[in-house]
Amino acid sequence: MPHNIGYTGRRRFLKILGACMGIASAPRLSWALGQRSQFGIAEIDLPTSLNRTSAWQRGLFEVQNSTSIEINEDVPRVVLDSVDLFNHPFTVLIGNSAFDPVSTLAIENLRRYLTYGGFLLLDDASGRRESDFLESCKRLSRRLFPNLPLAALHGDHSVYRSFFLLDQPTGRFQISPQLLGVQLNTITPLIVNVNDLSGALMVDDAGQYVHLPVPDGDFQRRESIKMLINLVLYALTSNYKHDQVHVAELLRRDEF
Amino acid sequence: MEWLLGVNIETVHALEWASPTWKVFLGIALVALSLLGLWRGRRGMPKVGLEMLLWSIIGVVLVSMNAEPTLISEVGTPADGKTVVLVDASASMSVESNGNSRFDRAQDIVRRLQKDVTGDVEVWYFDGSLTQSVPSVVNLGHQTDLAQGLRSVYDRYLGQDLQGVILITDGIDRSVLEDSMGSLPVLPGPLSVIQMHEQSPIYDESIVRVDTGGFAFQRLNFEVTAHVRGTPNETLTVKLRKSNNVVNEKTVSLDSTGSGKATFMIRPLEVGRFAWDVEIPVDARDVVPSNNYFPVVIKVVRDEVRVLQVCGSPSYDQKFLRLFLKEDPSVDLISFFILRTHDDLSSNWSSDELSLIAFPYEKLFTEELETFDLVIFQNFNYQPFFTYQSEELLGNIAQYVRGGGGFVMIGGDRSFDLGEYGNTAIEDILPVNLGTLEQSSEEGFVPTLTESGKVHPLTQLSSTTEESQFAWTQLPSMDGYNRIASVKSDAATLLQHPTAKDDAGKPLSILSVREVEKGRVMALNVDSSWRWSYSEA
Repeated sequence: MPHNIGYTGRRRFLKILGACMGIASAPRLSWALGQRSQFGIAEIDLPTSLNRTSAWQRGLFEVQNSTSIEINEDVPRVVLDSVDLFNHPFTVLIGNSAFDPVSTLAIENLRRYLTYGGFLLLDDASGRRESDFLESCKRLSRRLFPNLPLAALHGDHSVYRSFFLLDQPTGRFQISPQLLGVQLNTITPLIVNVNDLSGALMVDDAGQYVHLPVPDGDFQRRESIKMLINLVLYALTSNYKHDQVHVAELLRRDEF
Repeated sequence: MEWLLGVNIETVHALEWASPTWKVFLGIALVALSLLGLWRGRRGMPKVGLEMLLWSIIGVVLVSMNAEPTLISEVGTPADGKTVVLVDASASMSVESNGNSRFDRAQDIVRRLQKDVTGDVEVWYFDGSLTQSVPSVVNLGHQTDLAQGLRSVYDRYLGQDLQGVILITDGIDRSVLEDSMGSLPVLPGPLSVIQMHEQSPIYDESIVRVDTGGFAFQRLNFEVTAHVRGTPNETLTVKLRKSNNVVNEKTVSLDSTGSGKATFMIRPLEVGRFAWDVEIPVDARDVVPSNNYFPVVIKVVRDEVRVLQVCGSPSYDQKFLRLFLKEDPSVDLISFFILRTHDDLSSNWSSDELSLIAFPYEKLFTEELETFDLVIFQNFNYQPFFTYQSEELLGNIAQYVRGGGGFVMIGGDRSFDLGEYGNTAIEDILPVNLGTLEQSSEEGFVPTLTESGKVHPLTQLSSTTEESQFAWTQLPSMDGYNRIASVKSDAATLLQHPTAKDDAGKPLSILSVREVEKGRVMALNVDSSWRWSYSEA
């Protein structure tokens, strides 16, 4: 029979010291069984899409530093109609202008990818509220999921709670206080950020940030890093905090 | 006739007209018109008055005949309605006073009623059901259900006018009379209650009722609440038994009215119907020992399969396993992911910024463990969390498996030897032996089916063995593996590495299973099984 363990002052102290907030007290081993199964970010390669490898590498560095996730810092580019897409469960598409409709083969490939567990972040770098890139994203979403709306993700969505407590998304700009997303059953495999997230994370060859976020500068960049970490955690853990036992704990802490 | 029958016969006569009203009025109209025509033709003639009188009489006779007069005579004698007597036949009616039990005194009253009450007197005896057979004092029932007795009277005499319903009872109801007060029927006659009681107080401890809800879910707690009565402000020992074995015992403090209740928490481990009973030890002074015992039958059903997934680091492998399990509506999945470790503290985030919850490992692997059907350790290193409790908590898991639980270990840099599970209680239950020097490999490979894997249901991907074998060759390659020392003799390897060998020189096991007493264990020593999920796409 399992032993029942009572709560004593010493145990409570050790519990708080060593395990509260999921913090372990021992150094971790830090490699997966093969680099390909480590977490990485791949960019979608379209004729008009932007390439911001340095932004994602910077972001992955922060993910590695802040969480227990093991990362692969390579940022490959993949095309939508290739089987290679399925080697990269987390992908991003960055743009600041309209992109042409992708092929039917690409749509079918991407739909299977998202339906079976892939994640796509559409990052609008235009700095405009209703940009041509956003219109192209909406058209892509309609073709992928004709019956599912690309809708605002409100404050109770898990993406705002997956690691940090966030009130709103941010990036290089502060254009919209909400992410957009497509809800597929209980998960949101496609998310749009119109605030140029990658723009806030880009660094040059010397490791200096390229853009100063507006209007709040470095504070806004810090929030952008937190946004990326939340997106990564959400893509990996989805809505696990909605499991019954977690809901009870979160309600107790009044943080849900 | 009245002398012959011995009763007064009353006769009632009534004259009624059988013809329809319109026919009567039509006859009257025709006669009137005929008389009018006759009078106008004979006006001025002698003795016309006499003639008209005679014709009028003939007309009245014709009209009367046309109306078909009928004389109805009712002959009979008035009778009184039945009187129904309901006698409580529960065990509490066996309480004696001056040598006579309550039931004996109730029978005396019944006999007096049968003698004195006019009309038929029908006597029924009830406990949980209704009967006209007179029970003996030693065979009285266990239950007094007043509401059911009154409903039975309502059903049996529906549509009749009863002279009255007489209820003879001591008033000790062991069913749910309070709950059914609102649904008691309107009886077909006035209700009189005769209460049987003694002048001097009696000593009786009893179980009034036991609430269970009727069914329970396997491995989940449910309550059995016994409502008891006894001497006010005293204590009472209440026992819960299963198969004549006492499984729990409570001492209940009774209130000023002598009432109290004992609540037992039960966690059933097996599915089926099980008989439990609640019992109060019989005191030598207790005049009704039979109400110190209350049997209940509880049906235990399986709820969803409860799975605990514990993962040492968010990863693709963890994500796809979670998605896979979450898609199955019969699985109740609880996931715990270690999002942050000691090394991550250097990132200088304030705890106010974080949305993390504690990992309740103590609770999970002690009191909650039995509520799960399956525990999955996915790339989870126990040491940073279990610390000085490691031996105890890992021992709990091993014991849980031996008692019928399921356990799966999935590979990664925190699993098997890399998670330092060698020489622990977990190694004892795993299908593989640990303790190898070369603990992992990052070489990609496609696992192959073993002879056991070709026929084992776990690795059947298609309806035929040939199709299943072919399907395995088409699956994506794995990115690496955890090495193991060897496979235990009572385990079965289902998938193996195509070329690598374990320390025993045998093909390296990749997927193996083992039965450990009542439980089952599986070892999958790769962390890239997520690639199999995409093979469907």
